[in-house]
Amino acid sequence: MNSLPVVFGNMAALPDTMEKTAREIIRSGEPAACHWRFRLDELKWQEFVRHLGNDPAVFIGLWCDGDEICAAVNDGSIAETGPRPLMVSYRLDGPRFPGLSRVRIAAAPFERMIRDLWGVEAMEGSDLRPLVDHGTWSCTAPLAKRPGPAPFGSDLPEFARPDPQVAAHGMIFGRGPATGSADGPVHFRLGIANGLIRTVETRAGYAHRGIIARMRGATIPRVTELAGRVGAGSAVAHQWAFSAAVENATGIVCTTAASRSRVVLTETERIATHLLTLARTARSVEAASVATGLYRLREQILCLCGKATGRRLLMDFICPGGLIPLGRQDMLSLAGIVSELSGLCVDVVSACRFAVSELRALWQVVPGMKRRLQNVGRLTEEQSKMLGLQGSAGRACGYGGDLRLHLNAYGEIPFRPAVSIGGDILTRSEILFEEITESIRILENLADRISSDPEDEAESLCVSVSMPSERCDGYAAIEGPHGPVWYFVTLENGRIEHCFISDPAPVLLMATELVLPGTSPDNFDPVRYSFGVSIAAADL
Amino acid sequence: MSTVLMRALFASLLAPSGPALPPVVSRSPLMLFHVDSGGCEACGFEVEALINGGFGLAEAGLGFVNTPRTADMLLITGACSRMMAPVVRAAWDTMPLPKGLLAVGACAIDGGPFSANYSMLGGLDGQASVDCAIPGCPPSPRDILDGIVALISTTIMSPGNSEAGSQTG
Repeated sequence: MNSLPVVFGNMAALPDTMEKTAREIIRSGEPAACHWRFRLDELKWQEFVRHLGNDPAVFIGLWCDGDEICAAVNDGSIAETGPRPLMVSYRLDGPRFPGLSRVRIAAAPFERMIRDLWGVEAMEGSDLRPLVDHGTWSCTAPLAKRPGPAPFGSDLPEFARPDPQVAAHGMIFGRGPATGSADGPVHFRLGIANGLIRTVETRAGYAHRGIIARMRGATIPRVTELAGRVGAGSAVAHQWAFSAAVENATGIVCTTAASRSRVVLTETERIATHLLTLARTARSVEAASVATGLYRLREQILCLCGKATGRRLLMDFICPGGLIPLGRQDMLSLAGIVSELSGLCVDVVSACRFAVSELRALWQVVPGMKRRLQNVGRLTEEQSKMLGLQGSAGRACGYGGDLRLHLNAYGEIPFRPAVSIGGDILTRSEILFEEITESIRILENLADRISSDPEDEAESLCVSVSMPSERCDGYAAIEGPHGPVWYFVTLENGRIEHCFISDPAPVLLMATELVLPGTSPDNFDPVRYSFGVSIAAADL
Repeated sequence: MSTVLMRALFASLLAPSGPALPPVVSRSPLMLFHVDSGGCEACGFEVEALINGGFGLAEAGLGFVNTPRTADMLLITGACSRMMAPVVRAAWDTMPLPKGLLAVGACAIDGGPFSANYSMLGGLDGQASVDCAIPGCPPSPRDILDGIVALISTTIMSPGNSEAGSQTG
């Protein structure tokens, strides 16, 4: 029985400790087959939404499976916790549901995606614009049980009414989706007045490939292939996260050799992706010497990857159970993989060790570069917390978490996440350089360990996966180059029934929109490149 | 290969200049305009590596531009989403004659892992006449360069050839 707090006058002597947290509300729901999943009725879902606003639980994502709305939060009292997700679902009773974005702004892109794909609308959502469906698809709500007809109307894009000051004294400047560069198809509509950007509106969806639809009911190898193509900059992280989620669902445990090999691939990918982000940032501020050096170093690393694995971007190398999808062992003999990966570690370390420190020094001494990047595109700690920003951009705003600290695969490797509080382009770049140095250290550490693995370990790089016919759920999170990549999978009859993906790209795009107002249009490219947003991963 | 490169270089150096009035068509070197029509960005990464990774594009008689108005060839990566189709079409229509179409990667050719669905058209195969298709998922920068050089050395898209181009619209 609940006892009332002792009250003196109108003041409680002690704070009311009986206030429920969002996580307690989730746990009070009906438990599902797996211990981290619960179902709530409508009243409890509303209570959950109400309490989520002040709860320290980290928001992971919001999805729909046709019958239910599912939200996932990381169960931790502090943001820097490891992956301990709680998933809560609410059975839909009509085309609307109480939205989460009014209390967690990071839920907005998920709600917009649900509206476009399933035709289910979030009530009181903070952003009601379409995300990926702009009237060009062959039908509306393509994943709904009864998709709607193709829209009939103008193909002209619709935008918000311009800001009054922009309308009176400024101009509208459009950028994309075809700019001749390789940074993904997206349209930015900038409202500029008095020499400064006042409004930013992003029109995404040009790269929407229907990945969620393609994954539904697909075989494991097919979904592994698709996971590697969510965004090429984090292909390894996505394929590892998906594979680990399947392993979690089916109870498979990878061998140590396979885990170490996955770390090698992930850290090599991180170095290559960070170098690309830095190179694009340097190019956007006309620091040609730095940009060329960074591009050349990246190319050198990709050549080494191609030589060692046959895949320059390291795609299609990780699968549930270990490495190399079954049936494709011809790609590289299993016995040779360990020695190739060990050689890759050594080669990448020797290519990067001095080159990175030289490029970092060059970054700091190029005339005018530091001044150009300092205090530009600054994301404050409050804004970062509001967005729930993690990854390298979050760590540039004081966020101290890194999922690698909690993953078993990294357990034997001393590792220190880089954290700073500047929040501007310069700080984000410094964090990327620091993370590259840390990844080099990890590879250096692993080179000896991998080559010292016994022969039989090398032979068991891929554990055979027997898929249960009954329904099972699994989850996994991997720290990708730009932040945590989460996968929640439901398997039935050996196929993927549902696959929920959370990538940092949508939140990074929101962060870009948040910091651009107030900056000079000249800083548009440096700001957006510094966040390293993958448009493909945001559009799915 | 080196002979081809040398020929392309001399052809680009000795090519007659284009017409003085708009539309301005660059004859030397062959200029490409890249459009990512909706893919995973891997092919775009490799095109970016080709441009910036020290592959000697200028020596091969190639260059990339940031507007289709001065491009000789349209380089497409990605499986072509329904949203990007009008953008690709507009870029193509903006290009001056003669012009060519280059599909880079499995997605751009036939959709690759992204076949036609509610949002994708599934590649250029059957949608447009492609002058050169470079397979791979993704093709390496060297593959892309070899494909383009083979095209310009064997077809009428050669910068040294002053006769009509491969596409007329």
